[in-house]
Amino acid sequence: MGINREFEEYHRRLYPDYDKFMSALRKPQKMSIRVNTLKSSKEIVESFLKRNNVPYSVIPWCPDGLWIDSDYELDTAEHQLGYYYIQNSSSMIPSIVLAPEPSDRVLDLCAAPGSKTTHLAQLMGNRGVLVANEASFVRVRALVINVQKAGASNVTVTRRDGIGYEKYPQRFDKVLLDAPCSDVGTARKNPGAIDRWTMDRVKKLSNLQKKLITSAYNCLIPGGVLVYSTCTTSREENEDVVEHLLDEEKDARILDVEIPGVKTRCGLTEKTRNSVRIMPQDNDTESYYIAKIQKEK
Amino acid sequence: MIRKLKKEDAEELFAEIDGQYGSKLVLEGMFLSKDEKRESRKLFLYTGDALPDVPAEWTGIHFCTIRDGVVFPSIEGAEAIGKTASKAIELSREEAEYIMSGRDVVIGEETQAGYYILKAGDDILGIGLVEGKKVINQTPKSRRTRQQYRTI
Ligand SMILES: C[S@@+](CC[C@H](N)C(=O)[O-])C[C@H]1O[C@@H](n2cnc3c(N)ncnc32)[C@H](O)[C@@H]1O
Repeated sequence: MGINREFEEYHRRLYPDYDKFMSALRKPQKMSIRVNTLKSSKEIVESFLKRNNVPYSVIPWCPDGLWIDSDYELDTAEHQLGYYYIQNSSSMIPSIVLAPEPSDRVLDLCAAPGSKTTHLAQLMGNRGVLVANEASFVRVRALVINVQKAGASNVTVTRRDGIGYEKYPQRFDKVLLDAPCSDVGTARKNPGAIDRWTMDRVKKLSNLQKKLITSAYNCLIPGGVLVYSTCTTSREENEDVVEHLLDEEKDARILDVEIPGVKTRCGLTEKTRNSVRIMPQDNDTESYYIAKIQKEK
Repeated sequence: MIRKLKKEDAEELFAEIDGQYGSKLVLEGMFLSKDEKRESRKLFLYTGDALPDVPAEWTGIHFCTIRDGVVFPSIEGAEAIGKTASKAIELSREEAEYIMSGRDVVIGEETQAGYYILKAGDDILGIGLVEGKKVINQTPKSRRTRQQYRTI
């Protein structure tokens, strides 16, 4: 991880415990998997791990999540058969916060490669309606492969710009916007995210995210719930985006985010205090930001 | 163009599957058919409550391809068909790992040629083409493990 002065100055202002944050980001990523209950069960996957002498422990906030406490090669036959999905433990949180029911109509607006789509399908027991949208042609392919592998048979994939998605006549009970972002939270796996970080890029992403959140919100029915998440740290890509929506849409209400088992910090601004920041030094995870918004009835 | 399969067409498909793999299929959900005019057409299984009115690139999971009247199930199709299939070959765990890494496997005895469901205990691995004592791999490239194995 090289030194990026602009990144350092910004994040020192953001986090009083910047040094702890950086040393957590320099640690190698802790591997984790999510048992795919559409195809397998925790018992089956646990017995597979035991048979192969792979030490593991249960992720406190995700009943189907397991930490893998070794460098065991996880690309196994069981993985290719879709019994488990290799997923960062904090990336499991947004779907849990959205909490879809089997009867819900759900939209995942920025879906590739499908970590959350396949998780949502599993939480919905392959019922309801689950639309997974992705703008990039190349990434749609990865999304489709993962949907197939997971046996997520309630999913419909679309390839559209998420901005303006509301023009399709669907109305969704729940929408997940896991937005494209500057990816600082993934630096444990992908250190280049820090080298590439510039304020200019953050501002461009923030503009895109504001358009996407408006579109995502417009897809909701009255009473519907939107979860906005990113795996990054800047206020411009997180709280400012949510504030933008709260200012624009008079019927938008920010809800509490409660995730038993996760140590969280509250959103940085007064209006977004109910949203949460998940820090790598607090839970040995990636960084995440999550906000939950309801459209009033 | 994607089309919902009529009840009688779905029953015909189940009969075809039974004829080829000796499997009595019981499934919830609807079958969707794509590329009907082409030589090989694909069938998808969708279990959502309703089809959303969106410009879909992909719906549900690919269940099987039908080419010249022969049913080629995907891994997920084979998982459903294989539960009761009589035309199946039982592999060892090691042989299953070979199949999932894209290799062929030599089995002990001469077996009638054709497509078989491949099983390893409770795991269903998809289909394999049997010729003599050899199971020729049919695992799609996108579903192979990257691990390297010596040929068995
Ligand atoms: C953070 S990733 C999503 C990760 C995904 N939710 C998962 O859990 O696997 C953001 C995705 O948004 C896509 N994207 C970027 N701009 C978009 C747009 N305007 N409309 C829809 N998708 C977009 C990117 O190609 C990328 O795949």
